[in-house]
This record gives sequence, structure tokens and C-alpha cells, in this order.
Amino acid sequence: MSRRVIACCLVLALVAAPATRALETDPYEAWTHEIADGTDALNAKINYELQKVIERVNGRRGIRRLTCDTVADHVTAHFRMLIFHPIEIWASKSPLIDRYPPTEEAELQSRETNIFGNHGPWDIGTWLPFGPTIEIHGVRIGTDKLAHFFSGGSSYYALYRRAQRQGKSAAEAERTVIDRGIFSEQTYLGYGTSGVMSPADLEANYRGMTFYLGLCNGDSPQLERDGDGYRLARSFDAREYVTVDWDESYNNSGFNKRRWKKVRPRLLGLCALLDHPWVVAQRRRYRERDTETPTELRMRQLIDEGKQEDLSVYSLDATCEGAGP
Amino acid sequence: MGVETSSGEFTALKPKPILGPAALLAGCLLAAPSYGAEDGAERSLMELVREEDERLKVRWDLFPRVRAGYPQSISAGLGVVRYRLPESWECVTTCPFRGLTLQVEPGIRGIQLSAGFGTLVAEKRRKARFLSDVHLAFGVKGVLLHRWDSSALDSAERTFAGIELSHTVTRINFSIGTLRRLERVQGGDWIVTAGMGWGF
Repeated sequence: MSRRVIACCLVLALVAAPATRALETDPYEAWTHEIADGTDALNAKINYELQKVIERVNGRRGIRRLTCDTVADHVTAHFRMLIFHPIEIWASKSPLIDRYPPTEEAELQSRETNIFGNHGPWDIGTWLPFGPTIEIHGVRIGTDKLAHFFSGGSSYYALYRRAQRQGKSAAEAERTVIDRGIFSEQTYLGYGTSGVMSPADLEANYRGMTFYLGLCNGDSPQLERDGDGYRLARSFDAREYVTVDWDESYNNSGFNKRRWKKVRPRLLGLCALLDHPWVVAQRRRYRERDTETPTELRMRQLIDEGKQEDLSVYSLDATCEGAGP
Repeated sequence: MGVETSSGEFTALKPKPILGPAALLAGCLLAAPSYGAEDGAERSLMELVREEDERLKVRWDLFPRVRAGYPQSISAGLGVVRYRLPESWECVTTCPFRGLTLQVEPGIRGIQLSAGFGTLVAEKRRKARFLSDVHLAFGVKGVLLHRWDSSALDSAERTFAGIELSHTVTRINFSIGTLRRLERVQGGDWIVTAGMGWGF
């Protein structure tokens, strides 16, 4: 009896765990609502956390022998977490940063009204809370992007370094991590769990990797030797990393059939907003700042090769024009 | 911004050597207050972040568990977690609760008391002192289990002590433990416990 119970529990634990590795966000619910830019507060928080890690590492015995890469690993470990990341929770809670929905009660209500609000009771992908929207460097992002930046970025970073140790060039290593990211969204972190594939999440992952790589590499590494220990050579600035492609209302997600059936009617209810002056102005600003990223380039190649669905069919514009799937 | 401005002015006035240093000085004087203000703003934000991180309030909240498993069969428990979080965090929605946990869990075939350490990511929704939705949690607990099993093979009341690992993901709880019988008897000293349910 007990063996059967144990085996059953283990199997169910394994099945349930991956289903929760993705928090989602409704990128449209904050449209037309004012949100104060939170870049300075976010920078202050991240620089504070970086200082904490460095002080802790500097206090260790044998710090003189620690390489910069090892210190970078401590930074990675500090920010990385499973599903719910401290920095993401901070951005959803702290009074230092503005967000939408503006209050926790409003956040509870929005779970019923947002684009994922139409779901059945056994839809595990929607059992988890949704990330509220914040504004960083003039870009509206779900707080989940901070988790992708630090945690997804650390996975990319680890994979990139492994690829380089295996003798791959920088370009090959970059392609390896981007392909892995796309695969994860196509399967176990995206379509296979919440039913959502988010290229915006992949952009945040990629930028997170560049942050970790920049800790010890490049023309101006963020960490430098200071006597026996290390110090921050320059402060973290989110403006170096956040791009318009982090906004899922601009760089839209794709949905599997089951999720699309539920999301599409909600999207159709937003069509009138496309002509709203606030939305028109935001999109114009975004277009002026938009550049093609390595992830977009690779996605386009895969679409051309028929290995990836063109997600633009799920955009609000395509949906409202009746061109969606 | 200030650097760019001053450097731009300097370059533009380079053909006039007397004006050059004056322009540079003027540029620096103009730039200085703005740098000072930016630095000050950054410092004050850093101070606020530090305050938020360091000024934590100790609180206790309740959390539930209902599970089916061995050896208790069906059981329902109530626990309490002691944690520290920033004062301003209401935790109507997701908060991380980390700290000491105590739990009592009566069941059909026994009662379990446990004490340990847990990390819960949960929300209270509209309940003031009760974590109604546990999204993710890990815990290790020291367990005391008194069993009043009345099966045909083994009818004696017995007490066990040991450890239990508990993991909750999307409100579904999985637990596994190993306990040793406290009464000195021959054979059958150890049991493995397992269960699945809701809560933590």
C-alpha cells in the first residue's frame, strides 16, 4: 500500500511541477492607464541586491583566489529562483514602484477580467497569479519579465558558457541558447504548460544573458577587482537591457488551440482600443525604438524554414481584422 | 547628459582658445548640480530600498492542509508560519513566507504534530491571517505521529518520530517522510509515510 502511494505521489509531483514554471501577464490591461516610470526604483533595488551579494562574497575566506566568473556565479545564484522570483515579487509589492493593477484587491479582480480570465476550474496553467504591468525605460512590461531576465538569463548564460567550453564560437553559442529558448517556449515552458508561447519572454532571457556575460567580460565589465575582493565598477542600469520587444502587446505571444479558444473572444473585446490616441502614440514611440534582435532574426529564419508558426497571426491587429487562426 | 553638453560646447568653441576653458568651466558648473541631484535621488532611493529590506515586521499566519496518505489515511491539518516581511506588504496577493512552521494534523488513523522550516509562496486573498492559496512551498519538518490504526494485522497504538519533506506546487501538496517507532519492539521499527493533498 505505502509503496503504491509513494510511487503515485512522485509521479504526480513530476507531472505537476513543470506545469507551473511560467507566470503569464496581460499586456493590454494597463493600456490607457498611467503608470509612473519605475526605472530608477528598479535600478536602486538591483544595485542594492548586487552590493549585498558582493559584500557577502567579499566576506568569504579565500576571496583572493576567487575568479570573477565565480563571483558572477554567486550573482546568478542570488537572483535565480523557482517560479516566483524575489525581484518579481518585489516589483509586484513594493510601494517604490508604480504598477497596474494599482492595488492588490484590483489585481485579484483583474484575474477574472484579463485576457486569461476565461478558463475552466481545472486549467492548471491559470491557477497561478498573473504578473502586473510596470513601466521601465518607457516600456510596459509584466513583472514576469524581471524573472525571465534574471532566471531565464542565467539559464542562457550557463548554456552559453558550456557551449563555449565545448569549443563553439560566440555566434554559435548564441545560436545554441536562442534555439534552446525557442524550443522551451514551443514545449515545456510555453505551449506545453500555460498554452502561451512568448517571444517577449525570450527577449528578456537573452538580455539577462548579456547582463551576466557583462559582469566579467567585454570592454567595461561590471565587476572589477578591488584589493582582495571585488566591487561594482559601474551601476546596473535597466535602460541598457529593456527593449520594446519585452512588451507582449507589441511583441505578441502565440497560443495553443485550447488557450486561443479562450483568449480570442477577450482580444476581440479590445479592438476599439487600437484607435485610442494613447495606444497609437505608444506604438509610434515603440516603432521608433525598435530594432531587430538576435531572437527575432532566428525566429524569422525558423518561420521561413517552416519550423515555427508565425505568431503575428495572434496579434491584436490581426485578430481584429479577422485574420487570426 | 551634462558631459555630452559640456564636451559639445568645448568642441564647438575650440578655435577660440580663451573662450574654451571658460566654456568648459561653465559647462562643468552647469553640469555639477544635475549630477549632484541625480546622485542624491539615487542615494535616497537606495536608502528607501535598504529600509524596505531591513525594516521587517514579524508576523504569524495560519495555513491549511488536507491530504490522503499513509499511514493517516485522510487527515486535515492546521499550521502556523512565523515570518518576516516589509510592513507595507499586505499579501492579499502573492508573498514569500519563510520561517518556522508548526502544524497539527488529526486524521482517521492517527494524529501528527510537526515543527520545522518552510518557505511558502502564498496569498491571503481576503482573509486577514490565513494563507488560503499556497502556490509553491518547500518544507522540512520534524514529525511526531501517534497512530491508532485498528487493522487486523496490527492493532496496537504506536508513536513514531522522524522527518517529513513537504512540497506544494499549484496548491497540490506532496509529502514523504521516514519515521521510527518510539516504543522498543523487535522488527518493524521504521515506516515510510507519503501523502498527497491540498495546502501545505
